[in-house]
Amino acid sequence: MRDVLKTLVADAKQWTELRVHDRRSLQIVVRKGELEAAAYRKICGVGVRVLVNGTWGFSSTSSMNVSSIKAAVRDATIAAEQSSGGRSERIERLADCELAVGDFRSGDAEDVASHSTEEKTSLVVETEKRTRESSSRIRSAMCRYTELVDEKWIVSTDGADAHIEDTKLEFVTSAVAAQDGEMTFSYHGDGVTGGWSDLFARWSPEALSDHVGRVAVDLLSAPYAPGGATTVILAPDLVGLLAHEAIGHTVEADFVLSGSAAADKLGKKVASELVTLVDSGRVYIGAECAGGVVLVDDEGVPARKTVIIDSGILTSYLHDRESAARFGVAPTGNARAWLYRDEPIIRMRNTYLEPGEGSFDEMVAGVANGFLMRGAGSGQADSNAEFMFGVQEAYEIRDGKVGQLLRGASISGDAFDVLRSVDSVSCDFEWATGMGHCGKGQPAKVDAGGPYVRCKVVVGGR
Amino acid sequence: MSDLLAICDAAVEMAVSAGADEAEAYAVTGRQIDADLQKNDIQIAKSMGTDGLGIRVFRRGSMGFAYVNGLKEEDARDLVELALGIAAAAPPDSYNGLPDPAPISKRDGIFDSAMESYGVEHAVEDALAMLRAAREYDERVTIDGGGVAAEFGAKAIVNSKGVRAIEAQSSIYCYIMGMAKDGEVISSFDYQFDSARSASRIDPAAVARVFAAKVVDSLGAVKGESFSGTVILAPKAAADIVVYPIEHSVSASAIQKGTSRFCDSLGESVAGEILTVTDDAALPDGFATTSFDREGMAPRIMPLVENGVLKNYIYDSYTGRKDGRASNGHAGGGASSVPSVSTTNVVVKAGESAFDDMIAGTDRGVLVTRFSGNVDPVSGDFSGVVKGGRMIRGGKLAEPLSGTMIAGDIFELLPNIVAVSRETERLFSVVVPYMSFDGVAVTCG
Repeated sequence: MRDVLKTLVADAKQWTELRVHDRRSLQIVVRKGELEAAAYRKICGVGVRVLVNGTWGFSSTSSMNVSSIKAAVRDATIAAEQSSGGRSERIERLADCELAVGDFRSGDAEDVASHSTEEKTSLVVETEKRTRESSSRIRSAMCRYTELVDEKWIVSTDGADAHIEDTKLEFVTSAVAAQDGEMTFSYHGDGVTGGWSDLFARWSPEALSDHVGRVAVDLLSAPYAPGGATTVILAPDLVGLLAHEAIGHTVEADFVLSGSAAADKLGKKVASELVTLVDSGRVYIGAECAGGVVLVDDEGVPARKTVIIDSGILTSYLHDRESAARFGVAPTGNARAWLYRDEPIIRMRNTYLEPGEGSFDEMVAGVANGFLMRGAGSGQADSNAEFMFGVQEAYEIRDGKVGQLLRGASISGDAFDVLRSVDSVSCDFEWATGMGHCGKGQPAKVDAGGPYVRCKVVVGGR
Repeated sequence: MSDLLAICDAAVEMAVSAGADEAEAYAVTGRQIDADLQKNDIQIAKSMGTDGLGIRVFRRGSMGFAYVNGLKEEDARDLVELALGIAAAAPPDSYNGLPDPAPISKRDGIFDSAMESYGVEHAVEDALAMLRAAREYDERVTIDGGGVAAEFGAKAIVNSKGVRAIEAQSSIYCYIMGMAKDGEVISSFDYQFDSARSASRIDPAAVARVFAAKVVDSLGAVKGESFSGTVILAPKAAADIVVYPIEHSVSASAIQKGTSRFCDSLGESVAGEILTVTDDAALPDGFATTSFDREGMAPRIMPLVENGVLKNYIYDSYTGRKDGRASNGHAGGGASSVPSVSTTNVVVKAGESAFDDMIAGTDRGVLVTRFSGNVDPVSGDFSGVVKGGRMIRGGKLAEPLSGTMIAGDIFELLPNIVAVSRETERLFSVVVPYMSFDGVAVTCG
């Protein structure tokens, strides 16, 4: 495959990138005893990106023969030519770097394939059943297993020549509990870049069922959280969500160039000195099978560790080759495309806060009046760093002790204000959001996490 | 287009020959043209095919599904094998199966043949028109992203029980998002979009001007106050907080699984009399207007809530069979997905109040232009941040708000809906007016 692609780019008159992406996915969903979906999907094709007159053009084809790929190159070239008149700022060059050459492998496709579809289906059926039957108050439950097995070849006129294999898995379960006309919802799971045993290393299916069922039932009798600005201790999942959604997006160079909250802040203090925030393609901390592993990005750039905030100082944005050239820095390996028919755009990978030296117990002991928050609900953040996240479990903290569970809480604020308010960072670390996707026009598998962090936020409640 | 039916026919035949008791093939073909905006400039132009084939098989009561992004016969052969393999691993379900054929009436306004010639150059022109209009409105406006996406193609379905249908379709949408920046002052982030079946029916520059006006208006926002009172939801916020939970709750799937607040509520009052909501698969130019659903059934126009009374649930063939009735044509999804119950176009009927009068009649309240937060469609709980919001004092729009949150249970609020505006906005497949509610918790940090 690489040879065919190399021959094709050798003929190109302009900068050209050919990316073959073959994705095989399996998804099994069971809800309240019904198999809603058992679906196999094969999505394979070539994405073609060209740079003509300083302007991008993109096309794709699902046919893998040479004539179809050549036709896609033509279409991409025409798209670039027809839009170049409208582009006011031409791309003068792409940032140079040592582009990946060779074979790169993450995850364990063989291990995943060695478990039959029957085994996977039974596990989903059993887990949903266990979750549903964990209490008479559970009205409905769901369990979902997803596997994404990717193989890619990336070849460009300036030297990328990579063959990439990657396998990512997700396993989640949720429960709806009901009592006296009220309903509560709980959801948890894991997502990894790895093999079958990695997926269940932290949460066995049984432990996951029991946890999700218990939280949904406990929330039924929990009073609503009161609203207001207050001190909270965020668990690793919410710290990860904050790092990804509220900070991470603002430092994506495309958003920076559009005037995000992080624009013009390089070298400036943007957070408490206890805060060091990182985005990495490879894993340097915690479990190696984090859900957002990227060894080589979709421009063929080796994906390494990018320190975004170093002890409170903003040190780097996240780049693709276009933005890196514009900022005069090296690309950070953040260009990612979901499918062959998507063009690479700047995305995060594994985004996290480095652990500190504090202890969780001391952190709690220091709160006179506040909350411990755990369990990320859906979140939204804008490029001005305003965020709002739902919280699954909020626990009152009174006089240094964790107390009652509360429901219906959410947290919001300006993410940089929240990071400036951080006064304690624990020594723990956990990856926590690998079961989800990030959306930015295209989905992307990402992970995020961190330690426990004490800070000030606005709590939304009733 | 006849090729599309031919591949579906062939796939169904292969599946039945290979041992499927019943089989269904759903295929799409088309061309997509995109021009994307980023950083106040054209970012990339794209042109690509959108072929896909999904095969669903049933064997001994078990279902299997497989999809490929191609339309070749060898693709279909692979898919059949994969789908049957999955069916062999899946537990049986006595309600599984495919629907029998039923008459389909052709719906208009789904397809404009002129869209075949809508090329990259047109998309670039329309995207640039948005950019210019927003910047000309006010140079403090900055565009994070946006673009124009057009699609032209067809979908077809064949099943082994005799369902056989094909339909050409075209669509276009434009969107723009960003904020206004005045020195260090950054407005609320916002977006605006429009969609139609024909390029002649969208006005990208007008969309950009509405967007620009909103972000400029929200400059200089200040923190509001905490109170419990009147909240007026603009169409985008009402779509999230009101329409989405209703869409979830009328689904027969949610009803059967006990995850709907509308269980056992047919014929009962679930909202104030001024609320009427209809699922209208025939809405002219509607983004979800269609002659047949994901299973090849004709979607019936369904009153969902009429003058506050819950009138109907929506069904696909699986949920219909479970309740001993026929599908009413609400199987949603595309070639790559297993059909599941889904609304089509959802229209909230315009009310009798003028928006200006709704403001004038509010002594103290908040206008929520956009809502950023959580809405749990099962419980009805919502909690989130008011975006581009304005305080209302003494019947007048006052200062723009920041850091203001609203929370409540929409199903508790619906019976006390105060007003529904005459003005409506179309948001893809949803048509929504302004709606006002009393007794909503407003929190300020």
